[in-house]
Amino acid sequence: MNQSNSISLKIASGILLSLIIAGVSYGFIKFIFLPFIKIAGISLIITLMLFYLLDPVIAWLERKGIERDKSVKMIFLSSMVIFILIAVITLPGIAKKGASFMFEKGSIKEEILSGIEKASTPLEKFIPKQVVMEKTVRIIEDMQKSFFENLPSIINQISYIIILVPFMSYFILVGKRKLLNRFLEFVPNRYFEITLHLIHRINLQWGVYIRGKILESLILSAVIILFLLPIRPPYLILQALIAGFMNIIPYIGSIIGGIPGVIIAVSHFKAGVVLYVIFVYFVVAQIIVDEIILTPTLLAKISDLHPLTVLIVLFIGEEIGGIIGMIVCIPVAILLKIVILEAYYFFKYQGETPPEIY
Amino acid sequence: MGDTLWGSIFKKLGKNEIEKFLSENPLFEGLNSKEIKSLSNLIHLRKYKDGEIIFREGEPGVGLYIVMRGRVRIFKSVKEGNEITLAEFVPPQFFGEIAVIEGGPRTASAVAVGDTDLLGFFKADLMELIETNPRAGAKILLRISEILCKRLRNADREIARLSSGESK
Repeated sequence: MNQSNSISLKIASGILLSLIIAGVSYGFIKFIFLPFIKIAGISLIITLMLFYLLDPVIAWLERKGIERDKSVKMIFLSSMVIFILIAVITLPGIAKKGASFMFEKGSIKEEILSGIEKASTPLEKFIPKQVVMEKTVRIIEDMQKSFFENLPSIINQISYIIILVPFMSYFILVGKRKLLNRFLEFVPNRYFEITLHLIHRINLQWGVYIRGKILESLILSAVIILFLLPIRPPYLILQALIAGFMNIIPYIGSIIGGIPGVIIAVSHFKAGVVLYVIFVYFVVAQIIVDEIILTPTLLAKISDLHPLTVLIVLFIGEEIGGIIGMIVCIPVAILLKIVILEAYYFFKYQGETPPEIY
Repeated sequence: MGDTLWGSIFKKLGKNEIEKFLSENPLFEGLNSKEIKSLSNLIHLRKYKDGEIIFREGEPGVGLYIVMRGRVRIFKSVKEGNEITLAEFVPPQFFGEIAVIEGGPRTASAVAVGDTDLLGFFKADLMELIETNPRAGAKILLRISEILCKRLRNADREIARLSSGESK
Protein backbone atom coordinates (compact mmCIF):
# COMPACT_ATOMS: atom_id res chain seq x y z
CA MET A 1 0.00 0.00 0.00
CA ASN A 2 2.75 2.32 1.01
CA GLN A 3 4.66 1.40 -2.11
CA SER A 4 1.66 2.15 -4.39
CA ASN A 5 1.15 5.49 -2.56
CA SER A 6 4.76 6.34 -3.15
CA ILE A 7 4.43 5.50 -6.89
CA SER A 8 1.25 7.64 -7.19
CA LEU A 9 3.06 10.48 -5.42
CA LYS A 10 5.97 10.15 -7.81
CA ILE A 11 3.63 10.17 -10.85
CA ALA A 12 1.72 13.18 -9.49
CA SER A 13 4.98 15.01 -8.76
CA GLY A 14 6.19 14.11 -12.25
CA ILE A 15 3.00 15.47 -13.88
CA LEU A 16 3.12 18.60 -11.74
CA LEU A 17 6.77 19.15 -12.56
CA SER A 18 6.09 18.60 -16.28
CA LEU A 19 3.23 21.09 -16.14
CA ILE A 20 5.42 23.67 -14.38
CA ILE A 21 8.21 23.12 -16.92
CA ALA A 22 5.72 23.34 -19.84
CA GLY A 23 4.19 26.53 -18.35
CA VAL A 24 7.55 28.16 -17.73
CA SER A 25 8.76 27.14 -21.23
CA TYR A 26 5.57 28.49 -22.82
CA GLY A 27 5.92 31.76 -20.89
CA PHE A 28 9.62 31.94 -21.77
CA ILE A 29 8.98 31.31 -25.48
CA LYS A 30 5.96 33.61 -25.73
CA PHE A 31 7.07 36.53 -23.60
CA ILE A 32 10.87 36.44 -23.74
CA PHE A 33 12.14 34.34 -26.65
CA LEU A 34 9.71 35.40 -29.44
CA PRO A 35 9.82 39.15 -28.63
CA PHE A 36 13.61 38.83 -28.35
CA ILE A 37 13.80 37.09 -31.75
CA LYS A 38 11.59 39.82 -33.24
CA ILE A 39 13.70 42.63 -31.75
CA ALA A 40 16.95 40.86 -32.68
CA GLY A 41 15.66 40.25 -36.23
CA ILE A 42 14.64 43.88 -36.79
CA SER A 43 17.92 45.08 -35.24
CA LEU A 44 19.87 42.74 -37.51
CA ILE A 45 18.07 44.03 -40.62
CA ILE A 46 18.79 47.67 -39.67
CA THR A 47 22.38 46.74 -38.76
CA LEU A 48 22.92 45.11 -42.17
CA MET A 49 21.47 48.16 -43.91
CA LEU A 50 23.81 50.43 -41.92
CA PHE A 51 26.73 48.09 -42.62
CA TYR A 52 26.23 48.20 -46.39
CA LEU A 53 25.72 51.98 -46.30
CA LEU A 54 28.75 52.76 -44.13
CA ASP A 55 31.26 50.16 -45.33
CA PRO A 56 32.13 52.04 -48.56
CA VAL A 57 32.61 55.25 -46.54
CA ILE A 58 34.95 53.44 -44.15
CA ALA A 59 36.85 51.92 -47.11
CA TRP A 60 37.23 55.45 -48.50
CA LEU A 61 38.62 56.67 -45.16
CA GLU A 62 40.98 53.69 -45.11
CA ARG A 63 42.21 54.67 -48.57
CA LYS A 64 43.03 58.08 -47.09
CA GLY A 65 45.28 56.27 -44.60
CA ILE A 66 42.99 56.23 -41.53
CA GLU A 67 42.89 52.82 -39.82
CA ARG A 68 39.61 50.91 -39.95
CA ASP A 69 38.72 51.07 -36.24
CA LYS A 70 39.51 54.81 -36.13
CA SER A 71 37.37 55.37 -39.25
CA VAL A 72 34.44 53.51 -37.64
CA LYS A 73 34.83 55.53 -34.42
CA MET A 74 34.93 58.80 -36.39
CA ILE A 75 31.76 57.91 -38.30
CA PHE A 76 29.95 56.76 -35.17
CA LEU A 77 30.85 59.86 -33.17
CA SER A 78 29.87 62.24 -35.97
CA SER A 79 26.61 60.32 -36.64
CA MET A 80 25.79 60.43 -32.93
CA VAL A 81 26.34 64.20 -32.77
CA ILE A 82 24.18 64.73 -35.89
CA PHE A 83 21.50 62.35 -34.56
CA ILE A 84 21.34 64.13 -31.17
CA LEU A 85 21.25 67.56 -32.84
CA ILE A 86 18.43 66.52 -35.19
CA ALA A 87 16.54 64.94 -32.27
CA VAL A 88 16.90 68.06 -30.08
CA ILE A 89 15.82 70.37 -32.91
CA THR A 90 12.96 68.35 -34.36
CA LEU A 91 11.56 66.16 -31.56
CA PRO A 92 9.52 68.83 -29.74
CA GLY A 93 7.97 69.92 -33.05
CA ILE A 94 7.28 66.35 -34.15
CA ALA A 95 5.70 65.47 -30.78
CA LYS A 96 3.46 68.56 -30.96
CA LYS A 97 2.54 67.96 -34.59
CA GLY A 98 2.10 64.23 -33.92
CA ALA A 99 -0.33 64.92 -31.10
CA SER A 100 -2.43 67.25 -33.23
CA PHE A 101 -2.12 64.76 -36.10
CA MET A 102 -3.64 62.07 -33.93
CA PHE A 103 -6.26 63.89 -31.83
CA GLU A 104 -7.15 67.40 -32.91
CA LYS A 105 -9.04 68.95 -35.78
CA GLY A 106 -7.21 68.26 -39.00
CA SER A 107 -6.03 64.96 -37.45
CA ILE A 108 -5.24 61.94 -39.59
CA LYS A 109 -8.73 60.56 -38.82
CA GLU A 110 -10.40 63.70 -40.14
CA GLU A 111 -8.07 63.88 -43.14
CA ILE A 112 -8.93 60.33 -44.16
CA LEU A 113 -12.69 60.73 -43.51
CA SER A 114 -12.88 63.97 -45.45
CA GLY A 115 -10.89 62.42 -48.35
CA ILE A 116 -13.08 59.32 -48.45
CA GLU A 117 -16.27 61.38 -48.19
CA LYS A 118 -15.27 63.46 -51.21
CA ALA A 119 -14.09 60.46 -53.17
CA SER A 120 -17.22 58.40 -52.47
CA THR A 121 -19.73 61.19 -53.36
CA PRO A 122 -19.69 60.49 -57.13
CA LEU A 123 -20.04 56.76 -56.43
CA GLU A 124 -23.05 57.10 -54.11
CA LYS A 125 -25.37 55.47 -56.64
CA PHE A 126 -23.37 52.27 -56.41
CA ILE A 127 -22.12 52.23 -52.82
CA PRO A 128 -24.06 54.06 -50.05
CA LYS A 129 -21.80 56.79 -48.60
CA GLN A 130 -23.11 56.20 -45.08
CA VAL A 131 -21.94 52.56 -45.13
CA VAL A 132 -18.48 53.50 -46.42
CA MET A 133 -18.08 56.23 -43.79
CA GLU A 134 -19.20 53.99 -40.91
CA LYS A 135 -16.86 51.22 -41.99
CA THR A 136 -13.93 53.67 -42.31
CA VAL A 137 -14.60 55.17 -38.86
CA ARG A 138 -14.67 51.67 -37.36
CA ILE A 139 -11.38 50.68 -39.03
CA ILE A 140 -9.64 53.91 -37.92
CA GLU A 141 -10.91 53.59 -34.35
CA ASP A 142 -9.78 49.96 -34.16
CA MET A 143 -6.35 50.97 -35.44
CA GLN A 144 -6.12 53.84 -32.93
CA LYS A 145 -7.21 51.55 -30.08
CA SER A 146 -4.70 48.86 -31.02
CA PHE A 147 -1.98 51.53 -31.40
CA PHE A 148 -2.56 52.92 -27.89
CA GLU A 149 -2.85 49.43 -26.37
CA ASN A 150 0.48 48.43 -27.93
CA LEU A 151 2.21 51.78 -27.30
CA PRO A 152 4.20 50.68 -24.18
CA SER A 153 5.41 47.55 -25.95
CA ILE A 154 6.30 49.55 -29.11
CA ILE A 155 8.29 52.08 -27.05
CA ASN A 156 10.01 49.20 -25.24
CA GLN A 157 10.95 47.49 -28.50
CA ILE A 158 12.20 50.75 -30.07
CA SER A 159 14.40 51.39 -27.00
CA TYR A 160 16.01 47.94 -27.34
CA ILE A 161 16.55 48.49 -31.07
CA ILE A 162 18.09 51.94 -30.45
CA ILE A 163 20.56 50.32 -28.04
CA LEU A 164 21.25 47.15 -30.05
CA VAL A 165 21.70 48.61 -33.53
CA PRO A 166 24.66 50.96 -32.89
CA PHE A 167 26.34 48.29 -30.75
CA MET A 168 25.97 45.55 -33.39
CA SER A 169 26.85 47.89 -36.28
CA TYR A 170 30.01 49.07 -34.54
CA PHE A 171 31.33 45.57 -33.91
CA ILE A 172 30.39 44.25 -37.34
CA LEU A 173 32.04 47.23 -39.05
CA VAL A 174 35.22 47.04 -36.96
CA GLY A 175 35.55 43.27 -36.90
CA LYS A 176 34.01 42.18 -40.21
CA ARG A 177 37.23 40.57 -41.40
CA LYS A 178 37.82 38.74 -38.12
CA LEU A 179 34.21 37.58 -37.98
CA LEU A 180 34.45 36.25 -41.54
CA ASN A 181 37.77 34.48 -40.88
CA ARG A 182 36.45 32.98 -37.65
CA PHE A 183 33.38 31.68 -39.48
CA LEU A 184 35.52 30.24 -42.31
CA GLU A 185 37.67 28.36 -39.79
CA PHE A 186 34.64 26.17 -39.08
CA VAL A 187 34.04 25.42 -42.77
CA PRO A 188 35.61 22.09 -43.88
CA ASN A 189 38.48 22.41 -46.39
CA ARG A 190 36.40 20.71 -49.08
CA TYR A 191 33.78 23.50 -49.06
CA PHE A 192 36.04 26.38 -48.08
CA GLU A 193 36.55 27.91 -51.54
CA ILE A 194 32.93 27.61 -52.61
CA THR A 195 31.81 29.13 -49.28
CA LEU A 196 34.18 32.05 -49.69
CA HIS A 197 33.02 32.49 -53.28
CA LEU A 198 29.35 32.45 -52.19
CA ILE A 199 29.93 34.94 -49.37
CA HIS A 200 31.73 37.26 -51.77
CA ARG A 201 28.94 37.09 -54.38
CA ILE A 202 26.16 37.53 -51.80
CA ASN A 203 28.05 40.43 -50.22
CA LEU A 204 28.39 42.17 -53.60
CA GLN A 205 24.75 41.63 -54.56
CA TRP A 206 23.35 42.64 -51.17
CA GLY A 207 25.59 45.72 -51.13
CA VAL A 208 24.37 46.85 -54.55
CA TYR A 209 20.74 46.03 -53.69
CA ILE A 210 20.61 47.71 -50.27
CA ARG A 211 22.58 50.81 -51.28
CA GLY A 212 20.62 51.02 -54.54
CA LYS A 213 17.26 50.74 -52.81
CA ILE A 214 18.07 53.35 -50.14
CA LEU A 215 19.42 55.78 -52.74
CA GLU A 216 16.39 55.09 -54.96
CA SER A 217 14.02 55.83 -52.05
CA LEU A 218 15.78 59.09 -51.19
CA ILE A 219 15.82 60.28 -54.82
CA LEU A 220 12.12 59.41 -55.25
CA SER A 221 11.24 61.28 -52.04
CA ALA A 222 13.22 64.31 -53.26
CA VAL A 223 11.48 64.23 -56.68
CA ILE A 224 8.04 64.07 -55.03
CA ILE A 225 8.89 66.99 -52.71
CA LEU A 226 10.20 69.02 -55.66
CA PHE A 227 7.11 68.48 -57.82
CA LEU A 228 4.55 68.91 -55.01
CA LEU A 229 6.22 71.93 -53.39
CA PRO A 230 4.29 74.49 -55.54
CA ILE A 231 0.91 73.23 -54.23
CA ARG A 232 2.18 72.86 -50.62
CA PRO A 233 0.14 69.84 -49.42
CA PRO A 234 0.18 69.14 -45.65
CA TYR A 235 2.85 66.77 -44.29
CA LEU A 236 4.69 66.93 -47.63
CA ILE A 237 8.02 65.58 -46.34
CA LEU A 238 6.34 62.74 -44.46
CA GLN A 239 4.22 61.74 -47.49
CA ALA A 240 7.26 61.85 -49.77
CA LEU A 241 9.37 59.75 -47.38
CA ILE A 242 6.59 57.16 -47.02
CA ALA A 243 6.20 56.95 -50.81
CA GLY A 244 9.98 56.76 -51.33
CA PHE A 245 10.66 54.08 -48.74
CA MET A 246 7.59 51.96 -49.51
CA ASN A 247 9.18 51.65 -52.94
CA ILE A 248 11.61 49.15 -51.36
CA ILE A 249 8.74 46.65 -51.75
CA PRO A 250 8.59 45.84 -55.47
CA TYR A 251 5.39 46.54 -57.46
CA ILE A 252 2.96 46.80 -54.51
CA GLY A 253 5.09 49.28 -52.53
CA SER A 254 4.86 52.02 -55.14
CA ILE A 255 1.04 51.83 -55.06
CA ILE A 256 0.71 51.62 -51.24
CA GLY A 257 3.24 54.42 -50.81
CA GLY A 258 1.25 56.84 -52.97
CA ILE A 259 -2.09 56.28 -51.22
CA PRO A 260 -1.55 58.60 -48.16
CA GLY A 261 -0.53 61.47 -50.44
CA VAL A 262 -3.52 60.99 -52.70
CA ILE A 263 -5.96 60.78 -49.75
CA ILE A 264 -4.55 64.02 -48.29
CA ALA A 265 -4.80 65.67 -51.73
CA VAL A 266 -8.44 64.55 -52.14
CA SER A 267 -9.36 66.10 -48.77
CA HIS A 268 -7.59 69.41 -49.50
CA PHE A 269 -7.66 70.21 -53.20
CA LYS A 270 -9.94 70.37 -56.23
CA ALA A 271 -10.11 67.60 -58.81
CA GLY A 272 -7.51 69.16 -61.13
CA VAL A 273 -4.87 69.40 -58.38
CA VAL A 274 -5.68 65.86 -57.20
CA LEU A 275 -5.03 64.64 -60.74
CA TYR A 276 -1.70 66.50 -60.69
CA VAL A 277 -0.77 64.79 -57.37
CA ILE A 278 -1.70 61.37 -58.83
CA PHE A 279 0.38 62.22 -61.93
CA VAL A 280 3.39 63.18 -59.76
CA TYR A 281 3.21 60.03 -57.60
CA PHE A 282 2.48 57.43 -60.23
CA VAL A 283 3.79 58.86 -63.52
CA VAL A 284 6.64 61.26 -62.72
CA ALA A 285 8.06 59.44 -59.69
CA GLN A 286 7.25 55.80 -60.46
CA ILE A 287 7.40 55.55 -64.23
CA ILE A 288 9.69 58.35 -65.46
CA VAL A 289 12.16 58.64 -62.58
CA ASP A 290 12.09 55.12 -61.11
CA GLU A 291 11.41 52.76 -64.02
CA ILE A 292 13.21 54.69 -66.76
CA ILE A 293 16.12 56.36 -64.94
CA LEU A 294 16.84 54.84 -61.52
CA THR A 295 16.19 51.09 -61.92
CA PRO A 296 18.48 50.61 -64.96
CA THR A 297 21.30 52.70 -63.46
CA LEU A 298 21.19 51.81 -59.75
CA LEU A 299 19.88 48.26 -59.71
CA ALA A 300 21.04 46.84 -63.04
CA LYS A 301 23.84 44.80 -61.47
CA ILE A 302 21.50 42.80 -59.25
CA SER A 303 20.84 39.22 -60.29
CA ASP A 304 17.49 39.75 -61.95
CA LEU A 305 14.64 37.77 -60.49
CA HIS A 306 11.75 36.92 -62.79
CA PRO A 307 8.69 39.16 -62.11
CA LEU A 308 6.61 36.07 -61.30
CA THR A 309 9.28 34.89 -58.84
CA VAL A 310 9.23 38.36 -57.23
CA LEU A 311 5.43 38.18 -56.81
CA ILE A 312 5.55 34.69 -55.30
CA VAL A 313 8.41 35.70 -53.00
CA LEU A 314 6.49 38.84 -51.94
CA PHE A 315 3.42 36.76 -51.15
CA ILE A 316 5.47 34.33 -49.03
CA GLY A 317 7.27 37.26 -47.32
CA GLU A 318 3.95 38.92 -46.47
CA GLU A 319 2.55 35.68 -45.08
CA ILE A 320 5.58 35.15 -42.84
CA GLY A 321 6.45 38.63 -41.67
CA GLY A 322 4.00 41.28 -42.97
CA ILE A 323 5.60 44.50 -44.25
CA ILE A 324 9.03 43.54 -42.80
CA GLY A 325 8.73 40.17 -44.52
CA MET A 326 8.02 41.91 -47.82
CA ILE A 327 11.10 44.12 -47.42
CA VAL A 328 13.41 41.26 -46.42
CA CYS A 329 12.13 38.60 -48.85
CA ILE A 330 13.87 40.01 -51.95
CA PRO A 331 17.44 39.98 -50.49
CA VAL A 332 16.69 36.47 -49.15
CA ALA A 333 15.54 35.40 -52.64
CA ILE A 334 18.75 36.85 -54.13
CA LEU A 335 20.76 34.84 -51.58
CA LEU A 336 18.86 31.62 -52.36
CA LYS A 337 19.26 32.13 -56.10
CA ILE A 338 23.05 32.56 -55.77
CA VAL A 339 23.42 29.58 -53.41
CA ILE A 340 21.27 27.24 -55.54
CA LEU A 341 22.94 28.19 -58.85
CA GLU A 342 26.48 28.00 -57.48
CA ALA A 343 25.80 24.69 -55.70
CA TYR A 344 24.34 23.31 -58.94
CA TYR A 345 27.47 24.20 -60.95
CA PHE A 346 29.76 23.12 -58.11
CA PHE A 347 28.38 19.59 -58.05
CA LYS A 348 27.60 19.31 -61.79
CA TYR A 349 31.07 20.13 -63.13
CA GLN A 350 33.14 18.55 -60.36
CA GLY A 351 36.04 16.60 -61.83
CA GLU A 352 35.58 17.73 -65.45
CA THR A 353 36.34 20.81 -67.51
CA PRO A 354 33.14 22.86 -67.68
CA PRO A 355 31.89 24.67 -70.79
CA GLU A 356 33.32 28.14 -71.56
CA ILE A 357 30.04 29.88 -70.67
CA TYR A 358 30.43 28.90 -67.04
CA MET B 1 38.75 49.50 -27.88
CA GLY B 2 37.67 47.57 -30.96
CA ASP B 3 41.12 46.17 -31.60
CA THR B 4 41.77 45.16 -28.00
CA LEU B 5 38.41 43.47 -27.56
CA TRP B 6 38.46 41.70 -30.92
CA GLY B 7 42.13 40.92 -30.40
CA SER B 8 41.36 39.05 -27.21
CA ILE B 9 38.28 37.31 -28.60
CA PHE B 10 39.76 36.31 -31.93
CA LYS B 11 43.32 35.64 -30.89
CA LYS B 12 45.12 34.02 -33.77
CA LEU B 13 48.17 31.87 -33.33
CA GLY B 14 51.21 32.20 -35.55
CA LYS B 15 50.31 35.64 -36.92
CA ASN B 16 53.91 36.86 -36.73
CA GLU B 17 55.06 33.68 -38.39
CA ILE B 18 52.62 34.29 -41.27
CA GLU B 19 53.69 37.93 -41.62
CA LYS B 20 57.33 36.90 -41.76
CA PHE B 21 56.58 34.20 -44.33
CA LEU B 22 54.60 36.64 -46.51
CA SER B 23 57.29 39.32 -46.40
CA GLU B 24 59.84 36.79 -47.67
CA ASN B 25 57.59 35.50 -50.47
CA PRO B 26 58.46 36.74 -54.00
CA LEU B 27 54.76 37.27 -54.69
CA PHE B 28 54.61 40.06 -52.12
CA GLU B 29 57.98 41.58 -52.91
CA GLY B 30 58.09 45.34 -52.38
CA LEU B 31 55.31 45.53 -49.78
CA ASN B 32 56.24 47.45 -46.64
CA SER B 33 55.57 46.11 -43.13
CA LYS B 34 52.24 47.97 -42.80
CA GLU B 35 51.04 46.56 -46.12
CA ILE B 36 52.16 43.06 -45.13
CA LYS B 37 50.18 43.46 -41.90
CA SER B 38 46.98 44.41 -43.75
CA LEU B 39 47.63 41.55 -46.17
CA SER B 40 48.01 39.05 -43.32
CA ASN B 41 44.52 40.04 -42.10
CA LEU B 42 43.13 38.97 -45.47
CA ILE B 43 45.05 35.70 -45.84
CA HIS B 44 43.46 32.37 -44.85
CA LEU B 45 45.57 29.68 -43.20
CA ARG B 46 44.26 26.20 -44.09
CA LYS B 47 45.62 22.88 -42.82
CA TYR B 48 45.31 19.74 -44.98
CA LYS B 49 45.96 16.10 -44.17
CA ASP B 50 47.87 13.74 -46.44
CA GLY B 51 45.76 12.96 -49.53
CA GLU B 52 43.14 15.62 -48.80
CA ILE B 53 41.75 17.31 -51.92
CA ILE B 54 42.37 21.09 -52.01
CA PHE B 55 40.22 21.70 -55.08
CA ARG B 56 38.86 19.68 -57.97
CA GLU B 57 38.94 20.36 -61.67
CA GLY B 58 35.77 22.19 -62.75
CA GLU B 59 35.06 23.85 -59.39
CA PRO B 60 34.93 27.65 -59.36
CA GLY B 61 38.48 28.88 -58.76
CA VAL B 62 38.60 32.00 -56.65
CA GLY B 63 42.23 32.35 -55.66
CA LEU B 64 45.78 31.20 -55.22
CA TYR B 65 47.45 29.11 -52.53
CA ILE B 66 50.95 29.54 -51.15
CA VAL B 67 52.58 26.40 -49.75
CA MET B 68 53.77 27.17 -46.21
CA ARG B 69 54.52 23.58 -45.16
CA GLY B 70 54.30 20.20 -46.90
CA ARG B 71 53.79 19.52 -50.61
CA VAL B 72 50.97 19.87 -53.17
CA ARG B 73 50.43 17.74 -56.29
CA ILE B 74 48.50 19.18 -59.25
CA PHE B 75 46.88 16.52 -61.45
CA LYS B 76 44.39 16.04 -64.21
CA SER B 77 42.00 13.12 -64.53
CA VAL B 78 42.22 11.28 -67.83
CA LYS B 79 40.25 8.38 -69.29
CA GLU B 80 39.59 5.20 -67.28
CA GLY B 81 40.11 6.89 -63.92
CA ASN B 82 43.81 7.52 -64.48
CA GLU B 83 45.55 10.69 -63.36
CA ILE B 84 48.49 12.57 -64.80
CA THR B 85 50.59 14.73 -62.51
CA LEU B 86 51.17 18.17 -63.98
CA ALA B 87 53.31 19.74 -61.25
CA GLU B 88 54.32 19.62 -57.58
CA PHE B 89 54.71 22.62 -55.32
CA VAL B 90 56.75 23.04 -52.14
CA PRO B 91 57.31 26.07 -49.80
CA PRO B 92 57.34 28.99 -50.68
CA GLN B 93 55.87 28.26 -54.12
CA PHE B 94 52.30 29.11 -55.03
CA PHE B 95 49.68 27.87 -57.47
CA GLY B 96 46.25 28.89 -58.78
CA GLU B 97 47.25 32.51 -59.52
CA ILE B 98 45.13 32.56 -62.74
CA ALA B 99 41.99 32.25 -60.59
CA VAL B 100 42.85 35.47 -58.72
CA ILE B 101 42.66 37.40 -61.99
CA GLU B 102 40.17 35.45 -64.07
CA GLY B 103 38.06 33.61 -61.49
CA GLY B 104 37.05 30.84 -63.89
CA PRO B 105 36.77 27.13 -63.15
CA ARG B 106 39.85 25.14 -62.04
CA THR B 107 41.50 23.44 -64.97
CA ALA B 108 43.17 20.77 -62.80
CA SER B 109 42.82 19.28 -59.32
CA ALA B 110 45.14 19.77 -56.32
CA VAL B 111 45.88 17.32 -53.49
CA ALA B 112 48.01 17.58 -50.37
CA VAL B 113 51.02 15.25 -50.18
CA GLY B 114 51.76 14.76 -46.47
CA ASP B 115 50.40 17.14 -43.83
CA THR B 116 50.33 20.52 -45.55
CA ASP B 117 49.71 24.14 -44.49
CA LEU B 118 48.53 26.52 -47.19
CA LEU B 119 47.92 30.25 -47.20
CA GLY B 120 44.93 31.10 -49.38
CA PHE B 121 44.72 34.50 -51.06
CA PHE B 122 41.52 35.04 -53.01
CA LYS B 123 40.03 37.36 -55.58
CA ALA B 124 37.63 38.83 -52.97
CA ASP B 125 40.60 39.54 -50.68
CA LEU B 126 42.53 41.22 -53.48
CA MET B 127 39.51 43.36 -54.36
CA GLU B 128 39.13 44.38 -50.73
CA LEU B 129 42.81 45.26 -50.57
CA ILE B 130 42.53 47.33 -53.77
CA GLU B 131 39.56 49.16 -52.24
CA THR B 132 41.19 49.93 -48.89
CA ASN B 133 44.87 50.05 -49.82
CA PRO B 134 45.18 50.58 -53.60
CA ARG B 135 48.98 50.94 -53.43
CA ALA B 136 49.48 47.48 -51.93
CA GLY B 137 46.81 46.03 -54.23
CA ALA B 138 48.55 47.45 -57.31
CA LYS B 139 51.92 46.04 -56.19
CA ILE B 140 50.46 42.55 -55.79
CA LEU B 141 48.58 42.76 -59.10
CA LEU B 142 51.80 43.81 -60.84
CA ARG B 143 53.70 40.88 -59.31
CA ILE B 144 50.99 38.40 -60.34
CA SER B 145 51.00 39.87 -63.87
CA GLU B 146 54.81 39.53 -64.06
CA ILE B 147 54.59 35.91 -62.96
CA LEU B 148 51.79 35.16 -65.44
CA CYS B 149 53.82 36.79 -68.24
CA LYS B 150 56.89 34.74 -67.32
CA ARG B 151 54.81 31.55 -67.41
CA LEU B 152 53.26 32.59 -70.75
CA ARG B 153 56.73 33.14 -72.22
CA ASN B 154 57.81 29.71 -70.99
CA ALA B 155 54.69 28.16 -72.51
CA ASP B 156 55.35 29.95 -75.84
CA ARG B 157 58.92 28.68 -75.80
CA GLU B 158 57.68 25.16 -75.07
CA ILE B 159 55.11 25.31 -77.92
CA ALA B 160 57.79 26.56 -80.31
CA ARG B 161 60.15 23.79 -79.20
CA LEU B 162 57.48 21.10 -79.58
CA SER B 163 56.32 22.36 -82.99
CA SER B 164 59.89 22.44 -84.31
CA GLY B 165 60.31 18.84 -83.18
CA GLU B 166 63.21 19.65 -80.82
CA SER B 167 63.76 17.34 -77.88
CA LYS B 168 64.48 18.70 -74.37
